[in-house]
Amino acid sequence: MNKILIHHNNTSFNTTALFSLSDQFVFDVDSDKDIDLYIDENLKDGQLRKLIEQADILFIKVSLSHNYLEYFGIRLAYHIRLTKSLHDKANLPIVFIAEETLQFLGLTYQEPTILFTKGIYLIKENIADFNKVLRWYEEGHIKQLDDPEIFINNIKINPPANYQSHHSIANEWALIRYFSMFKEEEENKKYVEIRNKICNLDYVKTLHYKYSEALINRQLFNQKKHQEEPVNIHHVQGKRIGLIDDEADKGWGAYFDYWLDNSGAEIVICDKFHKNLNKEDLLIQIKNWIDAQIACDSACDIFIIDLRLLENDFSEDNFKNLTGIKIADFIKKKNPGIQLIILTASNKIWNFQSCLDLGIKSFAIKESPEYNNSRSETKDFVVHLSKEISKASTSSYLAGLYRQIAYLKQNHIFKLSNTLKERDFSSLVFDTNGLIDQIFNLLVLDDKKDTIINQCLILCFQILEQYCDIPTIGDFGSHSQKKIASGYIWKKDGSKFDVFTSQDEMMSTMFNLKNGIFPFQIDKGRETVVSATFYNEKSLVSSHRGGLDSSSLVKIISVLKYRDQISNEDIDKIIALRFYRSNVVAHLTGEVKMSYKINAVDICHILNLIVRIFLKS
Amino acid sequence: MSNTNRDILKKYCKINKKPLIFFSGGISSSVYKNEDFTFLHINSREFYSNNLKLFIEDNIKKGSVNLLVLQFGNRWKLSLLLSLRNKIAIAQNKQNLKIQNPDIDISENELIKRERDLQINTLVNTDLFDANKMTFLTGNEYETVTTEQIDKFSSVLNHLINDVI
Repeated sequence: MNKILIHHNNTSFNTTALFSLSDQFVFDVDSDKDIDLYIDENLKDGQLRKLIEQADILFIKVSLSHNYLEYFGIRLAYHIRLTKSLHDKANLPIVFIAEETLQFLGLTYQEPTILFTKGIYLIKENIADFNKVLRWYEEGHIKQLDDPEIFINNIKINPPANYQSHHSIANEWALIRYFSMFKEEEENKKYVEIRNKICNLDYVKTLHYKYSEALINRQLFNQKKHQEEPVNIHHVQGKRIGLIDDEADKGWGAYFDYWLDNSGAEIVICDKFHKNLNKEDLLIQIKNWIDAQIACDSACDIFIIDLRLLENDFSEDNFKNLTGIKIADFIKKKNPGIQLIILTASNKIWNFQSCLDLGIKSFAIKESPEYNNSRSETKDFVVHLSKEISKASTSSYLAGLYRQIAYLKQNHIFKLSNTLKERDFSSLVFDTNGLIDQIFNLLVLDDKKDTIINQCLILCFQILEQYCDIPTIGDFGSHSQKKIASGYIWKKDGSKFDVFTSQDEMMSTMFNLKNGIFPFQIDKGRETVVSATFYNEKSLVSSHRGGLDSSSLVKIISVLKYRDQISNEDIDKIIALRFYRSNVVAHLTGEVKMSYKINAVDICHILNLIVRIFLKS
Repeated sequence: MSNTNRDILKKYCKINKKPLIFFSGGISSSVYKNEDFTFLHINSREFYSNNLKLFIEDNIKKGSVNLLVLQFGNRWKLSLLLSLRNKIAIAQNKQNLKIQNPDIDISENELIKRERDLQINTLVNTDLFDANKMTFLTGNEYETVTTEQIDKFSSVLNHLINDVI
């Protein structure tokens, strides 16, 4: 029998008559070293590990320090049981040496549950007790732990005393767990960098981590299978994404760097977290950093923000005063189109609701050890986070759109107009909460919802139609008795350009409208205008069309083509969108296939035309 | 705090015999040492607890620094009493081992021969000798003690320990 004695030079059993010196380990934690780190180091590759690997039974003094009541022997026993790399040796019989009874130890130690598990024995500083254990061992009565799962179910390890306030524990736990969902890539430098950072985290050496891991390991989970289905982040190619997280340097920065790099994006990490900064100074530093990121040529249009960035955020009662929310609010006021993803260890639904109220639509949870999430749930968390980043990425065009609109509002052609009609139009479209703002705000609200997109389409055409009605833009009139109609526009150089004149069934015109059926149209045998054909000079055509709707279309085409030099392709697109507007949005005529929907890209197409039309050259 | 600064502080405390407390949110479990100087390594949540109040009150009352109060609060004496009981048990067992095997590597000064060998910590001295519980000890540290006296002492100690919890 190989028996090992672990003590602090505080037992009578350390005589060589009972244990040779090579079978003894003197436990002596350095004066200011964390006890868990000391134990972990010795169990990982120290002398203690070598002894345990050769042992059949362990004798551990309950007190392993100068201060008896610290009971580090019990803590060491937990570590031995929960250190996976010890394999079967983790289950060795452990004989505690103490003058106290089990009941006394239970009363005076915070985490006594291990004392009441299989494979644990207790003897006094008494040679008779010692000899009895040896005899029982030889007779097969001393048994090792045979069912680690029962052991895990029966023990309880409390989180570190300051768990509630020390959010780095949750942060580190989530990082370790989320990283475990990546397929191993030893050739990838970034992968190796995160792995090394994780290995160096103090938390992985703590008893609480080992316990939490052991709890999770009870669950069935095919890690290999899950890792073979890598979690990719879609739609982020070429994007720059800002990370504002006080724990970035502990591994989250490397984590996102690796993950986003694999998905074709780039992470930009806020490095302004210095321990000595108070909240006000930290906010100033971060805001300056954000200003620099959103003002540069390759601006960050997406930010991932940790909700709590300071220790005292944990005692903050008012959600709006959380540092992460202050930052989010600052960004949204700068540019409401910038997409934010709030990352937090909090799973409180009211926090999510408050984020929505602030216009933050993406919210992801950093898994926390106290929730005992299964590995499948961890996978779900990672998948959810990837989806939130993808969602934010597909809406990040709104940041650019906001910049474009802000510039247009300052530099549009009617800015200094002195005609009443132009001033009215300018006010309607470009003032605060004008039509352009309304379109943008609707897209920010939800750029995926049909009803919102349809409303945006109505507003876009309202702008185009009102523009064409300004007298300084064109003149389109008709005389009903003489059945004469004509149209001309004012070019930007001030010259007048005749577009068409029609009488009765004949028209002298610069363009003609082609009838047909749109691909998205239900063919009911009723043709509609599907495109325009432009001539180099006025040509005589037979006119078949009349009515307000056609007049309005003719006006728009005339102005876009001959005043604003819009391409034929774009004009055809406007014709198609106008048909959709009339037959789906304004009147549900049933002429458009139900499966066909327009989307934010279509709205942006019109908005881009609007910018081209109204921006001062 | 950097390791260099920690070392500077520790060196200062060692030379000047000053108690030192390191507290941090990352500390798993508190560690007390009383070698070159008294030293406590404690989790910040435990540091900012009711024990801190007790520690300050104890300091005001006694004019001395007892880091055990900060570590264990009202149970600070228990650690000293358990330690004392352990020392006696060790000595007694060594005595038995020596009887069984006179050649064993246990020296005479590891055994309890005189009252001073009990190494009673001055912080619990009063409690032990209070109310004439220790009439069988003289209080003279050079006085020899018998096995019977040690057993009686252990019995008083056990009662005191049970009273504390």
